[in-house]
Amino acid sequence: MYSLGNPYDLGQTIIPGTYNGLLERSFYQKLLFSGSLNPGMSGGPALNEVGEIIGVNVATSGNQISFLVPAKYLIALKDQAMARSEPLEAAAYQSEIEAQLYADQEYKYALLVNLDWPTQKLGEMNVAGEVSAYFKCWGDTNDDKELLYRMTESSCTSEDTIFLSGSLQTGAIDYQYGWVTSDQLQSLRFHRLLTDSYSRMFTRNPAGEEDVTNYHCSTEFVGADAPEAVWRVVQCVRQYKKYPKLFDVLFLGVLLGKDHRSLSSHFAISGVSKENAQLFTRKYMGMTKWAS
Amino acid sequence: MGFIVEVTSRSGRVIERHRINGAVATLGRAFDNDVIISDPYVDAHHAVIEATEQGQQIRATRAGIPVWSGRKTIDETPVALTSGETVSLGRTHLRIYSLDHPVDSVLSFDRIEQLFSSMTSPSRLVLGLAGFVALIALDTYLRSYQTMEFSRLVQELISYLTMTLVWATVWAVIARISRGEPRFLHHWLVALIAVSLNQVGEFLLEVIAFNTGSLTAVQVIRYLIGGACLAFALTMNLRFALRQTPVFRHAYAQGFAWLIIGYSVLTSWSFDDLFLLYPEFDATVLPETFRVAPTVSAEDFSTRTDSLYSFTTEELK
Repeated sequence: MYSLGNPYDLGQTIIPGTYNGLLERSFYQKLLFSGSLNPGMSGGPALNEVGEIIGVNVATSGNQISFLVPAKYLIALKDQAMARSEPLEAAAYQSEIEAQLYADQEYKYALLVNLDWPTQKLGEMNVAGEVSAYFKCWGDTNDDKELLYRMTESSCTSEDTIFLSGSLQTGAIDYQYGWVTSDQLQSLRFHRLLTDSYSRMFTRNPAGEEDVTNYHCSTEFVGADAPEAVWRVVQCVRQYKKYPKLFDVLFLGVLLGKDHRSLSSHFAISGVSKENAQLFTRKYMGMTKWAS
Repeated sequence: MGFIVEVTSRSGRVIERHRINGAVATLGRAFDNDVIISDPYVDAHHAVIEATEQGQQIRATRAGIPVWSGRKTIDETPVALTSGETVSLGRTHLRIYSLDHPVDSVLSFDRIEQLFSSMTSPSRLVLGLAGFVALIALDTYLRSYQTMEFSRLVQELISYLTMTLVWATVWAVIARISRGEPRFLHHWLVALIAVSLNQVGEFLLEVIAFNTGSLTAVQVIRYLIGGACLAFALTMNLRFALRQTPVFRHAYAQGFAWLIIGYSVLTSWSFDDLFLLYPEFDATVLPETFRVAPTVSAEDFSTRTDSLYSFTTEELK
């Protein structure tokens, strides 16, 4: 297959490559094209050997790993445009984008919140595992013998983000747990370690002042589903200035009351409505339980 | 016949009190005087006080070394004094009383002077210094979750001791110039106490931060603790270094300390409107035993965080 475009404004270019089917771990359908797409080629067509359009150039990860939007979405877009009696006014673009982003997150979170989340054991806690195939999860344990503590981490991240501008990329969902134990640290020192590990999470959206407000944050102690334990939870929210129905939400929880054992629990979601953020938070908090 | 001579500070605080039983008392730096004054601006034989039937009178022993009564000078011609009147020789202030004048039966006891004098005795100072080192060591130890390195502890101690020694040296120089008495150990002790109070205050602050999670409250209390420690240090240093009335001393110390704190507050407030890429929250985590704030249920948490989603029109601009 062949991809056409204007890389780095060098002129019309034809890039040969191989079709590798649909991505499995993607919320949005994308074709994997083993060829070298470059900046400037986005929006260009990808053709099969008989000259039929099979996709639209959209992204690259380098090293001949490139992605195409399947042609059926182009056809749908064309049909939608043709059905309009008049072209969309330039002033209406922003509200149209907001409506599309809102609908997209409605669909995505309805799917996520209604799923039965699988659990996995982390230390002495049950936590959310790989919620759906759209998430990539991995784990890590520190093996440094010189450290006075042991930390096992489990992280999951959604593969998809929606590119709106150089600074505004939304739609990501990340969550992470860290199980920390220590036989050697005195209680105050152990909690100092928790303090430092507590504040490392942030949303993947690198939005600037023209895109979002500052964060509003609140701290609460929330009863935990574990004997004599309590969560210290911080939740932070910021609103999108151009799309005010959408928010970025950050959640950070740390389990207190278990001697020399603790779980830190973080999630960061971007481009979500208030209602969906609250549903997701409740579901997420309900998933973390004492295992033994 | 007889009278009382008091040596006082400029503010009128009694430093020494002498009872003269004869009719005449000589005043000056020389050992053969009835009242020996340790003041380099006072002559060896500076003045004479005589008791007469009409009261006390004072005169200088020779020309060129006047005795001051307010803004007037008294030379070799005796001048009558009313009981309780104050005169000055060099930089020393004297108050003269007749024997039947009502005065305090004993000198007032300055507890702070007494306390600092006893605490700066070599054995107590070594003990206090050991306590300070223990406090810094404990603080450094508790703030780390790595294997404790001796070199790091030494580094912390050197920085704190250097800071307090420099502070004490500056005040000792001021005191040496102003009163001829540096009292270096007094000033160092003040600095050590102020730093220790601030360290203890920082821990209390962590307890407040852990329970409230309020960055504003923590910032305000941090400024209050810092201001109080600085005001304490300045008040004590001024007390030991300069001759001042308590009102001026407190006014200078409190004024200067809170001016600095006020400036810091204004500076930090001026950054309040800045856009931040990351959320600002207090991440302090302490053992559960330090928690006094109530817990809420997961449902209540959702309700309580509802207001986080409300942004003003100003914020959305």
